[in-house]
Order: sequence, then C-alpha cells, then structure tokens
Amino acid sequence: MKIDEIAELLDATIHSRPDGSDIDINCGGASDLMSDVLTYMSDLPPNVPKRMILITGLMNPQVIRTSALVDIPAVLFTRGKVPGQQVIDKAKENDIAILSTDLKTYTVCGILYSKGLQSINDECK
Amino acid sequence: MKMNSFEKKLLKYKQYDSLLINGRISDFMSKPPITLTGEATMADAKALMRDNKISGIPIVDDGDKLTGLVSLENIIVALENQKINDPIHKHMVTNVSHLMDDMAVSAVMSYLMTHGYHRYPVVNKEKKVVGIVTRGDLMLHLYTQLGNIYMHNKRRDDLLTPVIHLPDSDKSMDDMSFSYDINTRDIDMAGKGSTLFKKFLQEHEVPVAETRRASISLYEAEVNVVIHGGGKGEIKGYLVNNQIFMVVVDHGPGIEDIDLAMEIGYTTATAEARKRGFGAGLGLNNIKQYSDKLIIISSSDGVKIEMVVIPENK
Repeated sequence: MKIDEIAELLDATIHSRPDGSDIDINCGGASDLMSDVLTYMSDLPPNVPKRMILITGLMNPQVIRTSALVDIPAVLFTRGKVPGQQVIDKAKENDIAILSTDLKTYTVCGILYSKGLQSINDECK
Repeated sequence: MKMNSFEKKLLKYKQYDSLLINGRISDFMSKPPITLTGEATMADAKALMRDNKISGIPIVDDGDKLTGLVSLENIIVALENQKINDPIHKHMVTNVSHLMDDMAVSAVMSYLMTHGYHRYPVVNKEKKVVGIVTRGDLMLHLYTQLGNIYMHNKRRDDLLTPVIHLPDSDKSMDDMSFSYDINTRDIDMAGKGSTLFKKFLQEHEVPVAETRRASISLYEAEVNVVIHGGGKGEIKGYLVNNQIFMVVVDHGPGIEDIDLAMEIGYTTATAEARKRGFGAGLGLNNIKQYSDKLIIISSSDGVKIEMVVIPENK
C-alpha cells in the first residue's frame, strides 16, 4: 500500500514525503509508548520495520527519533494532532514520511487492517 | 614526619576516592547517637556507658547541638574526687574533636590519623549530633568496600575479558571510537547521541541487525540519563573486532535498587517523561534484551552502564 493510498483512505494530510518514500507499506503497528515500539523489534528480523507504518497518538520529536533508530519509514499521527515544524524537519532529515489524520487510533487500525495491511510480523519485509 | 608521609600516601590514593562508593559517613556511623545533656550527672553518664559498653558520650543542649563530650577518663577523675553526682557540664571536655556528616572517607581517615581519639561525634550543618564514628567503624567500612570492589572487578573481568580488550592508548583506535556529551534535561532532545552513533556504525558498515540492537540499547541508556540522571553525562562507543562496545555515564542520583529497576513496568519517571512516551519501566529491560553484555554500576554519585553488542554467527 502506497503512502498516497493510505492518505486517501484516512483522509490524512501528508506533511513529509522524502525521496524514496514511494515505497510499499505492507504492515502497521500502533503504540503511544516509544519504549514499547523498541521492545517490539526484538523478535523481528532486521529488515522488517522497513515496510512498516507506525500509528500513534503521541506527538513529539521522540516519535521520529525512535522511528529513525529502527528504520521505520512512515509515521501516522491520529486524533487531529498536527506535527510542528520541529517534527517535520526531523522527519525529513531522517527520510521518514509523516501523515496526520483526524481519525482515532482504533479507527485507523480498523480501516487499514480491513484493506489488507497486516499487523507487523516476520513476513512484513 | 611520620604524619607527613602518611598524608602523602593518602594524597596518592585520593584519586581512588570515588571507588569507595557510598563512602559517606552517614553510611557507617553508629546512629542514633547515645547522648546526654549537660544537666545530667556524671553518675548518669557512668551508668549509660556501662549499660551500652561505650567509652564516651557526646553532650548536647536542648536542640541536640554538640556542647561537649564526657569520656571514661572524666568519669574516673570525678569518682576519685567524689564529684560523681555533679552535673556533667562541670567535668566534660568542651572543645570536642568532631566530624561533619558530609565528609568523604579520605577526609575522615585523615582526621582520625591526625587526632588521637577513639570516638568522634558526627554533626550535621546545624551542629546537631547525628551519629558517632569510631576507628573500628571506619575499618569495618573500608574492609567491606574493598571486598565489594574486589568482587565487582572480578565479575567485570569475568564478564568482559573474553569479549573485548580495549587498548586505550592506541592511537590507531581513534577512527573506531565515538564520543558524545549529553547535556540536556529536555526529553525532546534526548537521543541525539544515539542517532549520531547509529550513523557512526553505518559509516563503519556494521550490519543492520547489530546497528539496530546497539542504537536501541544506547538510546534507552541516553534517555535514562535525561530523565533520571540529571541530564549530564557522557557516551563512549568503540568498534573493536566487529564488536560494539558502549559506555554511558551520568552524574545523577544513581539507581537505588537495580534489581527492582530491571523489573518490567517499574519506573520512577515523572509524568512529563511519560507524556513523551517514556518512563514505562521498559528501558533497562530493553537494554538487557538487545545487548549481549550489560554491566550496570550504580552509586550515589551516578550510574555507569557498559553494553556490548556482538555480531551473531561469529
């Protein structure tokens, strides 16, 4: 699923679309806890998060930093949280696509899952 | 002359002061102190000494402030002169050698070696008597500390020696080493060092899996410094024989109970940290999970975390 498709499904705004972000996103994960995102990676092969979108209601630069550290290429902010310039700049700097939507996290997950985006697992690479 | 050489010796070892971790007087003094006021009689002091098998009692005023000390010798003299029912203030020593409760171990040692007494009241900033230190207390403390240091060094050697040898004076290491100073209490800024270290690893063509494990470990340690460690610290990273060696030091209050801190979900983080997506009690656990070797050394002067990531299949 391309970033544009995701944006269309969720009526989301794309704030950052770095070169090379026209990749296929084939799995997703939702968390507001960045340490938990890091914990999550332990059992997965190294290439897995490279096709993942992180869905979060948390809005701060640490979300981008965490994503950058584990090579997550796309982040979606839910519940109408619009990223500030600091977050956008950091995302561009790290080649991370940024989207935001008014929908709630649960709704976002439901829509994307029903359209075939899997929960993050070993096969998502 | 003799004292001079002793003091020289002490000075020589002063640099190791920080090794005597937890080396504050308050950790090894006897407390609460047994005290009397000057209005009590010498006979009271004699009874108290006998009952507690002690040879001196600090004398305090109504506010617990040190005013004197009565020793066994004072009691004997009072007995000989049949003054045993006099109030203590008539016979006590008034200019008492005492220690401050924030003195370092080396200062205590220096003081005890240059003063001949056996027993010293310990006072706080308000001059209140908070404890008593004897030579025996100090010796026992040093003995215990030496034991701890020996045990720690041995465990550290056992753990690290087979893994890595760091030639710290080898200049050729320079391009394989990384360092970063952490200096922020702003959680939004935490993680800069780890991001730079990740780039460093990528530049040295470290495989993705190891780069990630090392970056996550370092990131959690760095965030800890910002959230818990007072915001000031150093990161050092080395790449030796494809193994990634990382050290994070802070000068915060230390981790009181490492076992407890390792438990998933245990946290002392502030609401502010939690709002930022941290402080869920996963940090140290993540480090443990992603590092192949982990050593945490904690004292009241700060925390030192050493982490090693070793490539698989090698």
